[in-house]
Order: sequence, then C-alpha cells, then structure tokens
Amino acid sequence: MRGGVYSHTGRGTSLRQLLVLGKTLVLRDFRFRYRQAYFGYLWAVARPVVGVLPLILVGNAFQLGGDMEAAEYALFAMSGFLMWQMFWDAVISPQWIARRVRRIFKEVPFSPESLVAAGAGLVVFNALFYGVVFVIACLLTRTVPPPTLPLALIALPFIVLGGLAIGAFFISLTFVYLDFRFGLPLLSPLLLWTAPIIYVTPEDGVLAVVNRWNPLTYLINIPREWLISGLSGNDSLFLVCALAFVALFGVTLRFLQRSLPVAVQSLP
Amino acid sequence: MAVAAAKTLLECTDLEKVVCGSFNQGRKYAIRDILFGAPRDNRLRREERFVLRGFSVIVRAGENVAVLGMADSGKTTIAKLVTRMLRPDGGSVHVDGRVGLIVGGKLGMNPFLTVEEYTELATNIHGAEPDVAAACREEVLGITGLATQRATRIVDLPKGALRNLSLVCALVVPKDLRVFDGVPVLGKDPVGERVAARRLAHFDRGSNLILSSTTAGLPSNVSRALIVHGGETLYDGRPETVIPIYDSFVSRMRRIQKVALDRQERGTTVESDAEAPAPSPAILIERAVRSLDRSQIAHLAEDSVAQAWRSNQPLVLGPCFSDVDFELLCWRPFIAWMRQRFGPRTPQVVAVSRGRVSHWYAGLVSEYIDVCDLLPFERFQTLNQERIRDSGSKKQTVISNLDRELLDAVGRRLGIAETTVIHPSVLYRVFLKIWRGVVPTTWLGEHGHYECFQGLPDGRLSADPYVVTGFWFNANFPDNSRNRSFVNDLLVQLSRRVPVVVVERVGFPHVAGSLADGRRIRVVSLKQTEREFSELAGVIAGARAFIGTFGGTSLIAPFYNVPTSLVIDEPVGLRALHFSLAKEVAAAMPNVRFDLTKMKNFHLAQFDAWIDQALS
Repeated sequence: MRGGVYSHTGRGTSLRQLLVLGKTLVLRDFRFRYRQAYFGYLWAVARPVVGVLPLILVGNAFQLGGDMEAAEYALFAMSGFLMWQMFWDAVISPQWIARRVRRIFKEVPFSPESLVAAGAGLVVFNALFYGVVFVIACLLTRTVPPPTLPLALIALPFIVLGGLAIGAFFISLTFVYLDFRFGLPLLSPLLLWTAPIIYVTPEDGVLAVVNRWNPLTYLINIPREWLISGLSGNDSLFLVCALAFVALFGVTLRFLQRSLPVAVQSLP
Repeated sequence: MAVAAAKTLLECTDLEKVVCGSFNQGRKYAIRDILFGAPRDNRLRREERFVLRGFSVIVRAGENVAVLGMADSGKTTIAKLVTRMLRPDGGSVHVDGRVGLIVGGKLGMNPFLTVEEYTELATNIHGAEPDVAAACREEVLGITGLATQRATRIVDLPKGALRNLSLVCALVVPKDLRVFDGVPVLGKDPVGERVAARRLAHFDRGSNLILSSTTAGLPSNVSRALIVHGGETLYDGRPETVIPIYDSFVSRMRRIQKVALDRQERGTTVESDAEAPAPSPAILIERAVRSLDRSQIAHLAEDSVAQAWRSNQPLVLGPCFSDVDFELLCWRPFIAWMRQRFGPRTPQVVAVSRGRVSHWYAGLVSEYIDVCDLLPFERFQTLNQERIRDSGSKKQTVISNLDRELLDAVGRRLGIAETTVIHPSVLYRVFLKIWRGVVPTTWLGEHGHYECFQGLPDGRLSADPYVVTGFWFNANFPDNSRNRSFVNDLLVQLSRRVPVVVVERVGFPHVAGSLADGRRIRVVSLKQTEREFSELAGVIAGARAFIGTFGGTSLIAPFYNVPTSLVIDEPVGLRALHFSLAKEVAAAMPNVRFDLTKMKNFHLAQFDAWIDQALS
C-alpha cells in the first residue's frame, strides 16, 4: 500500500500557541477585509442582523410563530436565528479562513488545527455582536431572560463545535475543488428551514418528521428555550446531540490532519 | 566523536514522493485519496511520476547536513516532507523536536497590515511560542531596521525594506532543527549583513538540514553532504569530496543542457545527431568522482567505508591475502577503527584472510572465513601467482578475478546473494598516496585503532622459556658480511642465556641454519601451507621475546604482547613507510615492549639489558 510514515516526538504545537495563531489569522483577515471599507468592522455583523429582519416580518405575517404575539415571536425568531447564524458561521469560517491563507500552506509548515482555531475565533468575534443585538432585542420587547440563561451560555460553545465539525471537513476538499466552497452556502437555507429556527414545529406532517430527526432542532432549539423561556422538557436530548457533535469534531479533526497535506499538494 | 553520540533530530529512511504531471488529473487523485485513502498498491497511476525516491538522511544535534541538487532535483520536496507540509508516499520521516523551514516569501503579507502586525503574524506562523513571541518580534524589527516604523502600514513602505522580513521571522523563532530551503544571497547593506550574521550563528550552532542548488554560501562545518538529481541520491559523502564533485557535475550538466538547447534551436535532436547521447547524471557523477581521485582519495575511502558499514546487508571485509605488514599495520587497525567509529553492526561482518588467522580478527568481526575454506590451498596459490603476474604487483590495489572468485564463494557460503564489500584496495590506494606524499602520514594513525589480538593461536612450541628470532635478508637488511656477522654474534650471545628458536620460512633467504650445531638453538622451518601463519603465530605467541628483521611476519610478535626488538639496516621504499607506521604502533600500544632500531644504532652490549628485562 502506498503511504509513508511521519512520526514526531518531543515538543509540538501547544493549544495556547494554536489559539494565538488562530487569533492572529482572524485579525489578519479582518484587517485585510475591513480596512479597505469606510464603515470598517460594522460590515462584519450587518449582513446577519439585517438578514433576520425580513424573516421576522414574513414570519409574523404568515404566523410562523403559531399563537405567539408579535414581540414574542420577534424575540423567538431573532434569538433562534442568531444561534443558527453562530452555527452557520462555524460551518463556513474554517474554509473561509483556509482559502484566504492557502498560499501560506504552500510556503511554510502550518498546523491544520490553527484553521479550526481561527474559524472559532471568527465565530466568537461575530457572536459578540450577536450578543449585543440580542440584548437590544430583549430591551425592546421588555423581556427578562429566565434563570436558565447560564445554561444557554454554556450550550453556545457546543453549537460552535457542531458547526466546526462540519466546516472543518470541507477545508481540504475546498483546497482541491472550489465547488465545495460554492456549494456549501446552498446548504444554508436547507439547514435553516429543516430545523424549527424561525417557526414553531408543526404537530404533524413531513416537516414535523424532518424536525424530529434533525439534530439541529435540539442543538439550537433547546438552548434557545433556555435563553428566552426556561427548561424545554426534553433538555437531555441537547446533551446527546452535543456529545455526538463533539465526537464528530474529533473525527473531522483527524480527517483534516490526514487530508490537508494531500490537498496542499494539489494547490496550483 | 561528539557528533556520533548526539541526539538524532531527523531520520528519513527511503523517502518516496509521487506527483501527478497533470494539474486536473492530480486534483482527481487528491479527492480520491482524501475521501478513500491512498492507493492500495505501489503502482503509479496515469501521469504520475516519482519526484523523490529512496532518499535517506540523518541529522543529529549540532550537525549540519547539506543536500545539493539542481533545479527540480527534489530538494523542496524533501523540505516539505520533513516539515510535514506533504505526506510521504513511501519510507518514513521521524522528527524529534520542533522543526522549522527557513525560507523567504510573502507569507500571508497584505498591504493593510502594519509592520508590527505582520511581524506578529509571520513569527506566529513560523511557530513562535507565546512566551517568546514578543521577544522574537522585537528581534525581527531590530534586524530588519524597522523598529521605528512598526506602526507603518506595509502599503506605505518601499518594497526593498520588506525584502528579508519573512526570512528573518523564520530565523529568529527558536527551533530544534532548521531546514534551509536554499541559501539566499543577501545584500551587502547593513540589514543584509545582520541577516547573514544571524544565519551564520545558526550554521555555527548546527542542527540544520541545508538544501541548496549551489555550494556557495554553505557553512564550513557541514559534516555530511548528498547530491540529489531527478529525485534520486547520486552521491553521499563528506563535504570535502561532495562539494567538488557537485561543482564538476553542475558545470557538466549545464554544458549538456546548453548543447541540447542549441540543438533544439537549430532544429536537430539528439537522436538525429550522429554523436553519442549525453551521459546520464549518474555517469557524470562517476566521472567527477574519478577526476577527484588524485587529491581526495582519502576522503573517498572514508565515504565508501562509511556507506558500506551503514548498509543493511552483510559486510565482507577482504579478502586480504597480500602483505602481512599491510594487514597488521593498516588493514586490521582500520577495521578496528571502523568498528569504533561507526559502532557495532547488526548485519553480520565477515573478515576473509588467509593462513588460518581467525584470532587476529576475534572481537572485531562476527565471522572469519579463510580463503582455504573457499579454495584448495594449491589452487589459491596458483591463482594468486597469476594475479601477481597479471597486475605486476603483489599488493591488492585493484579487485582482481581471484578476489571476485573468492567473494562469490563467500556469498555462496553465507547463503546470500547480495553482500557489501570493503576490499583492501580501498585502503591500499590511500596507502600508496601516503607513500607518494599526497595524503599526510598521520591519516593512517587517525584511521587506525591499534590493539593486541584478543585471541591466541592453537598450540605452542614449548612450555619452557624461549626466545624466537626471525632474521632474513631483504632490501632493508641486505645480505652482506656485516649483517651476517651481526646476526651470528647476536645468536651466540643470546643462546648462552636462553634457548633460542630460529624461524626459517621457505622462500626467504635466511641466515641461521649453520648455528644450530652444539648450541641451544633450535631451527623451525615453516613450510608454505594453508596453516603457515597460524603455526608461526603459535611459535611466536609462546615466546618470551622476539628479535628479528623488521617487516613481514616479524610484526606479528608485538600484537601477541611478546616483547619485540626489530632491526633494520636502512628503511627504503615502502618499508620506510611501514617503519614509521610501526613506530606509531609502538607509541600507540605503550603496554607492549616494541623496539625498532636501525643497525647503526644497535649495540650488543645494550641488548643484554633489553633481554634481561624481557626475560624478567
């Protein structure tokens, strides 16, 4: 069988080093993108924030929130969408960063894990803005977060990890064919609408079945409940989903380490 | 040497790398390999080719190893495999510690970063640990002279100011092993000089793998160098030999490439030309090696024995069957030196010699084979006479048909098809260069480890004390009345004190026969048999002292720790070199009584005291 062996002993790259490198890569990306813009970093959050407004309007008009009041639905949809956006940011940010630094992979040795760290950094940066938007939404709707708020905050890293587990899988593939990069955004509406993010799960029908079997339903919906209303009744399902995504993240990381040198070789 | 004991930082064994010649096809293979794993066999797929094959190298702490090769020879592939940028398709890479690639380039530079931001990014990419990152940044800014412009955006700086920035970032980040992909030419400006000084400091410290297309700029303390071409290692040896070989190779290759280009421009091809096709790179290297023979033969010998000793095949040392002087003073100490220098070997080491002298090699090799185990003694003698007649010399300066026949027989006896051989001609060629003054005489002392035999021959002559003498005439002890009278007087005087055994060997004009009558002198005549040296060794090893003419079998005595006194009239020819070498042996074995005296300095009265001490 073709394939050599690379083994390493002694000091390697520490987690702290990876995080620092991830932070540096995120800053480089931000500086590159937004220093050319007059409004600078504002653009980083404009798209998701502005994107959710029409959804809320349409959702209200078509009563996607069931018997919820307009303000209640707005908070429901806004919080769900922001959480979903965090998940989606985590899906696309590693391959986003990877595409931007791919030349470096051709020049010097570079740990693949740093891309995941950078992706996570990008998500955290956006999440800070989302947090501000959520607080403003709470103030406008005069909603007081329930006592389960800390649970929701604890759940957020697992949502990010779930996104990274999927996103990191595409890094190597994106290096070889850009189709994966172009195709990945197509998943966005699919993932958004197959989970009850901006609508309430119907009691029956195909969508109800899809919602039930979609892990995102539990990964996002349950923390959203913790964030705006309290315990959901099937909270343990979040734990199951979170553990599954943690395991998937481990597998993806291994896949990334193994596949990236092959992908780098195919870079022009 | 210190280097041999140092920690191994990098070990590449039989590295292979395959690439696809077509970009589109390569991407298809990449997707397949990523999703379904590497191919299950070693066959090349369509449009694939090897860019590296069978590459092996070891870099130890404190050592600089250079890999020389022209463009597209595989150097950058090696660098990328070692630093894990690419996955090997065969063989193995083992790295102990942090490895860094020293290379220039843009390295994620973008015009909207400030100098400090970019420096932070580049040092982090090169693996600066958080604890030292700030210090690294400051050092980079200091070396590049950009400390005062740290807040300036790159877009606002002149291009020249950024030339060495990423290279310096690579140089300052602490690493256990550095891989230099090229040794870039640096400017003579202050920045260039500071960068060069930083690089030189790394070279001085060692622990570097230097990949370069040119020998210019290589540090002086390179301990090993390899030449790669077309992904294959063409030569591996010491820099003293490899560097001139590479320079010669490059100039020949360029000439060939220029001729090919001219032909292309003229519209003719090599095939259509009546001239012979261009020699292969391997042949060019071989020619370059041959052209070095005159001045670099000692280094070539060291290279070849180092390679042979490190091979994974059984190693045959010999066959050695010419001069006993050479075997005792050079060959056997050389084997002992190899063992000491390169360490014990797992695959077997076999010494091949003649005269049933297995105990001469005891402790040095795993097996001894006598030529008479391989050929009948009479046939060996006949073939050896033919060899001497054909070559015009008794010395084994080339591998003769007899050598080949014996080596084939060794292979058959060991039951193996492939063996590695270190033939005495390797050492003979150096020895002859020493004699001609091309190589310093100290070389043999530096490449010889002198020690007594670890074993003893079978059977001794007598349990009572006796002294052995071995006098025979030769160019260094001519047959004249003065020398005859000297030997007579010495034997008479000696026999009054102790029984004397006079050794006579067939074919040597000897001096003592008539003295035996009525005195305590016994004559032992050794016949030319397959056990001749073993029997002689038995006589000498049991003696209380040995006195005789310098040279040949007389030199056996000190290696049995028998007090030895050898006389020589006036050393001439090669014997003069043997004589000075024997003096070195005497000095190197202080526990052994081994005296060498010229006839003009020899006084029988003084000899009385010597024999007193020997017998006491």
